[in-house]
Amino acid sequence: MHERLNNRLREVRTGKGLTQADLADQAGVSRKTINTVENGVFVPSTILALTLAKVLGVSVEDLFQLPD
Amino acid sequence: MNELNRVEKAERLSKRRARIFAVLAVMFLALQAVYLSNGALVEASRINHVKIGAWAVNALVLLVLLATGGNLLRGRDVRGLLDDESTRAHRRLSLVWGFWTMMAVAFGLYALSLFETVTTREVLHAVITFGVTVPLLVFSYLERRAYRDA
Repeated sequence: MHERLNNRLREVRTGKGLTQADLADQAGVSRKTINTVENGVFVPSTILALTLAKVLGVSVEDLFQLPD
Repeated sequence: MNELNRVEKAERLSKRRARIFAVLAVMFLALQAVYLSNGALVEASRINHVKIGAWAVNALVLLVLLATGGNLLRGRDVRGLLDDESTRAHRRLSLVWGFWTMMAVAFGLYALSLFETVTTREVLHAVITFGVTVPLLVFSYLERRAYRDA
């Protein structure tokens, strides 16, 4: 997980029954981007974070949190 | 185009691009042995001018590929996926690596020039060669790493 950001993207995505490809297509990004965000390798931009939250029907804070 | 096919197509092209960039970088670097072994950088002859010209065109083409990501003839939707924000981040990072490599090569040759004769052409050739090769290799590595655990 990225040292500056915790994320629950994989958990929320699989809970919605979506594959990485499904989410990538709906968010307008590559599956590679979804994969790197889920693995904590890549910190998404504000726009991408908001887009992912909108696609998944949750708030941004449900997906991403600052570490304690 | 079927929506999922677009994502799959972009993924296929992205993986292929990463492989091709690595191969092109290694080939470009390996070709430098030809220039160094036959004195193309120091001997002024028509054939050497042609070789250096070809090297320069090769370097420019590789830089354009790195800057654009290639695949310019693909549809806009696929190109958008091929150049999304993680790819742009990888490109930025690879260019940073290229910059610092060029600095290291330049400083190294500067130090060498204190002991050996190093021509301007040789310096520029080395700096540009590594400035092209390293970003391509780093970009390729980052792109391929991004698909791990997918």
